[in-house]
Amino acid sequence: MAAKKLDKKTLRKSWFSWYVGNLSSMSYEWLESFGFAVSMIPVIKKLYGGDKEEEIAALKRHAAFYNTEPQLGAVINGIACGMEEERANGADIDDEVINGIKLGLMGPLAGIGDAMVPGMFIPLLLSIAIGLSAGGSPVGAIFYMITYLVSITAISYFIFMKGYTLGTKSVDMIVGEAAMRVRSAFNLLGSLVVGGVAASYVGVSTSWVIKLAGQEMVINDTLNGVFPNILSLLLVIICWLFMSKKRMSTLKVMGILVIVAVIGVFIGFF
Amino acid sequence: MNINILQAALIGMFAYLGSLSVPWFFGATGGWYILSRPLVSGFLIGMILGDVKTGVLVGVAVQIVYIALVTPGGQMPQDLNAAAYIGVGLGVVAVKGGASVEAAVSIATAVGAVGTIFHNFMMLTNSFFNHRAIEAINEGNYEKLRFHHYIGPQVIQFCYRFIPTFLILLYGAALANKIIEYFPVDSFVMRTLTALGGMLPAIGVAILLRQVIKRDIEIIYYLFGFVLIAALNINMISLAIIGAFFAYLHFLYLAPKEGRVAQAVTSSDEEEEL
Repeated sequence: MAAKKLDKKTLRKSWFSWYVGNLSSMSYEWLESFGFAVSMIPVIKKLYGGDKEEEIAALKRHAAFYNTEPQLGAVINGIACGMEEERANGADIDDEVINGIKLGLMGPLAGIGDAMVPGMFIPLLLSIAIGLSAGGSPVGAIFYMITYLVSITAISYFIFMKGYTLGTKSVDMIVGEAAMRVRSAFNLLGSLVVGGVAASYVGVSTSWVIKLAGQEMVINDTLNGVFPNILSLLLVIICWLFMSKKRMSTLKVMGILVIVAVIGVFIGFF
Repeated sequence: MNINILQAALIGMFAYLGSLSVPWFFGATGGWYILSRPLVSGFLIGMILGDVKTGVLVGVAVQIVYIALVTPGGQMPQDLNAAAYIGVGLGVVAVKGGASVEAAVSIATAVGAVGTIFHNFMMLTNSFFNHRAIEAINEGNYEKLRFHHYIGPQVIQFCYRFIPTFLILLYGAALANKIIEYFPVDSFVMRTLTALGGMLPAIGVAILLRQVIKRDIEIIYYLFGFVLIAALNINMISLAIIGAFFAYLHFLYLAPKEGRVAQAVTSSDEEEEL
C-alpha cells in the first residue's frame, strides 16, 4: 500500500477553513472546537475517505474542547495535520496523543499569541496608523488595513505549513529563545511608541486661574512650563499604577475617571 | 446631521462583518481585528456619511481607548464592535452637531461598556448550534456540521449586530441632535463629557503598558517616547524609527553569548507565563 500523503491543495483548504472559520460557532462551552473540526474535514476526507467509521472517529477526535489565539495558533493545526497523516500511515498514535498535543500547546499559544498579536503587534501598527491619520487623513486607516491583513495572513499560512512539516518543533518559532528576544524588543518599541500616542492624544488640562497680588496665574501654563503636557503624562502613569499594582479592572478605572471628571468640572478644575 | 436608511444599513452591514466570529471577511483577521478597530470604522463611517475627516478624527480618538484591548477566551470586557460602529457613528453625528471630539469618545466608550450584552448573548445562543454540530459529527454528516458551524450561528449573529446598529443609527441620530441642542458646549454635562473623553485615552495607554512592562523600571520606555513627542515635537513616524533603532539594539544585546544571559532569558519567560 502506498503511503498516504497530504498534498498542498488539501493543506491549503484546511488552513483556509481554519483562517476564516475558527470562531464561527464560538460559545462559552465550546469556543473553537468546531472551527478545528471543520478545518480538518479536507484532511479527513483525503486520509480516511471511504471508511466512514474512521472518518467519524477522526471528526470526534478533533471536536474536543479547543481554544487558542487563532492566528498564531494555526501552527497547531499544521501539527495536527502532520500527526493525522502519520496515523493514517499506521503509526501508533491514538486519540489521546493527538489530543494531548493539542491541549498542551493551546494554552501557551493562547497566552503568548494574545500577548503578541492584540497585546503588542496591533497596538504598534495602530500607533503608527494614528500618527499617519493625524488631522483626519484616511492614510493611517488604509495603512493599518493593508499591513495587518497581509502580514497576519502570511504569518498564519507560513506557520501552518511549518507546523505540518516540522511537527511540534515548529512551536519553538513562537515560544523559543529567539522569539522571546523579538518579543522583548517589540515590547520596548511598543511602550516607546505608545508614549508618543499619549503625548499627542491624552488631553488633560486645567482651567484654573489663581489671582496673586493682582496678577493672574494660569495654572495650566505654569505646569506645562515645568514639563509639556505633564497632567496627561501623570494620568497615564496613575492609571497604569492602579491597574498593575492595585490590580483594578479597566471598568473600575473608567468609573474613577467618570467621578474625577464630574467633580473636576463641578469645582472648576477642568 | 441625519442618517438615511441606506447609510444606516451600510454601517450595520460593516458592523456585522466586523463582529467577532464572522467568517466572511477574512475571518477574525479581517473582521474583528480590522473592521472592528475604531480607526477603520471611523474611516468607513466617514465615507458612508460623506465626511471622511470627521469620521477619522472620531475614530482615532476612540481607537486610543481600545488600543491594546485583548479578548482572551471569548471574554469581552468592552464590546469593541458596538463602540466602533454604534459609538463612533453616534460620535460623528454629535461632532457634526457641535459637540467636541472628546465628548464623542465618552459616548462611544459608554456604548462599548453596554454593548457586551450582545456578545454574551451570542456566546450563550451558539450552544444551541453546537449541540446540533455534535449530532452531525456522530452521524458523519459533513454538510450538517458545516451548516451548524457557519450558517446557523451567523444568521443569529447578523440579528445581534446588524439590527441594533441599524436602528440606533437610524433613529438615534435625531435624538442625539436634540440632546446636543439641549446641552450646549458650555453646559455642565458637555463639559464633563469633554473632560472625561480627554482622560479616557489614558486608559488605553495604561492597558498597553500593563501588558508589555515586565519590570517597573521599563516605564522609562514610555517616558522616553512621551518626551520625544511632547518636548521635541517630532512626528510619529520618526518616533517609530527611533524606537526601532533601540529595539534592534535591545534584540542584539539579548543574544545569548554567556550562561548569564541564558538564565535571564528563562526567568523573564517564566514571568510571562504568570
